[in-house]
Amino acid sequence: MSRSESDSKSDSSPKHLQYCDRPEWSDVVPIEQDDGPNAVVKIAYSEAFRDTFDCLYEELAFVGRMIESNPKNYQFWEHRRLIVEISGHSSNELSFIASIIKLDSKNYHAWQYRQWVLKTYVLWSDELQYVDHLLQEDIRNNSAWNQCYFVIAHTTGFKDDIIERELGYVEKRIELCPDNESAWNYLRGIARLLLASLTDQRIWNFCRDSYENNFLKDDFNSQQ
Amino acid sequence: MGTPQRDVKVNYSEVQKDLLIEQHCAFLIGYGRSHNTYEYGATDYLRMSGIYWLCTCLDLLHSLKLIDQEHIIDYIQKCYDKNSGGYSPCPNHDPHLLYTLSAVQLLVQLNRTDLIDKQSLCSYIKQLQQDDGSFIGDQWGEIDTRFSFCAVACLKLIDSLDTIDIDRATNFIMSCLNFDGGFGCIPGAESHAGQIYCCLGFLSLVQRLDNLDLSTRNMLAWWLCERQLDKSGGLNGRPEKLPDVCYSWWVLASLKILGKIQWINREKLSKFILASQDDETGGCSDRPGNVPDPFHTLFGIAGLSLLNTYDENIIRKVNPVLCMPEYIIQKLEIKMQLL
Repeated sequence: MSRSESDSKSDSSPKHLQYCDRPEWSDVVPIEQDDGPNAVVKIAYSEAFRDTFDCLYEELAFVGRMIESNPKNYQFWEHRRLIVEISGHSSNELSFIASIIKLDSKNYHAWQYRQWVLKTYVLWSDELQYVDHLLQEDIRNNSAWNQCYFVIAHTTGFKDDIIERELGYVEKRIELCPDNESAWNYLRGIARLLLASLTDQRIWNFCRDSYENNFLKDDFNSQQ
Repeated sequence: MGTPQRDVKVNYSEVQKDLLIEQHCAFLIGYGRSHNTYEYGATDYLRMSGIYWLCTCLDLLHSLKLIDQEHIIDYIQKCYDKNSGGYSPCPNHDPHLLYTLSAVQLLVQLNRTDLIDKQSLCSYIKQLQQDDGSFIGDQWGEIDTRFSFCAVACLKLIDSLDTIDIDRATNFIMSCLNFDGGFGCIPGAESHAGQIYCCLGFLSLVQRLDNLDLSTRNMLAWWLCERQLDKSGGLNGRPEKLPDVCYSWWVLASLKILGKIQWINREKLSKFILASQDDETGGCSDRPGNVPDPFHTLFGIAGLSLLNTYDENIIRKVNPVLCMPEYIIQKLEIKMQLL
């Protein structure tokens, strides 16, 4: 970690009034930056640095509470993004977003923000596992299917072996729930990437079998 | 078979079947006058759009004469921010592209484009365009394809589309095209009917729908018509979401632009919209039984207009790209591309 130790200009400047002393910030309770007792490098934060970052942590906590009570408000998410960008304090973001998604698994803002966090801070490693977990909870979650595509597009890319893997993944899930629009859209989306897909016997057979097994049956038709 | 498709139960033998024109007009006029309610105060941040929804809906119902035009024009003027050249939703609020579009739509509708400082407005919109062609909504930097639509819609209404870099703006829109044929708010974001409407509306206004090849157009039209739910007949905004009357606009207008509106079951959707009317207060809500508001009232009526459920004498023809009465668009001779 290479944060500069002090913002020396503002330390010595007589004009710098710390945030904690400013009347317009009087309602903000700073949360102290705490690197823990076993910090690898014990950083001697300057007063000005502490002041700013303590306030940013409080702001992050504040906007987090706002999002929890108003999870569909564009401005709150945008404000959080700005705070995280300025402070660099991104380590909590994926779990924060996961907590919002737990309350509403299709919250558009949460997913969009999650994509920004993943890209900006390069946090891809556990994402496919997270998405798979969500799909186990709700196989029809369109946001999760979209996220599958997003993660692969930004990591391994859709190389032939990846497409094969994903075809296996989505086919299994279609077998579990044959009228799942999201899964079919995903199948078509990745199949299109395979140049040979139009004549791909395997995909053709899969579709034909699915149709014959699920949609020609009497019990399906009687449900309509 | 897995879980059944998510939908709402509507008892079609018991719901409203007639179009409640007078009640809707009373609801809309009443909404605009109720300054002392909590709702009025709590909706400061979008009031300019609220007025646009109200006026557009009244006009579609041949009742624009019921509004206090002078009062509205005065309000719009108070919301003009001469420092930026944009419009705020409410006096003392920050200007924003969303409310700038609503203000311009209103001034066009009320025949007061003389009050628009064209040069100032153009420079406001121009400085919101980013290097990648996208548009931020205001100084705080949020990017969204909605804002690309707002930018070109504003400029089209004042005949100044060449203010911005159209090629770059189009490239940004195309970068938001997803694997399922839909569009999201930024590249990679999930396809959503509202965003799809904005992107198709954008492409229509800059006349570049041909950027979508035939296969993509068909895939998108299919995705859109899949928004109609079997049991309720209503439209949702993306897979596995509940139907909502406002998607009667976002989805239908999108299909109209693509030339595939006939892929929706017209009768079923009309019934859903009519069932979402409130026969006590007037107005439409998002779905039957809920509280009405001007937003859903406009998009319900506009949806019925696109469906041609009623004669033009009852509901005026609506322009599917700008969501304004078609007669206004014709008068201004604004050209757009419809497939």
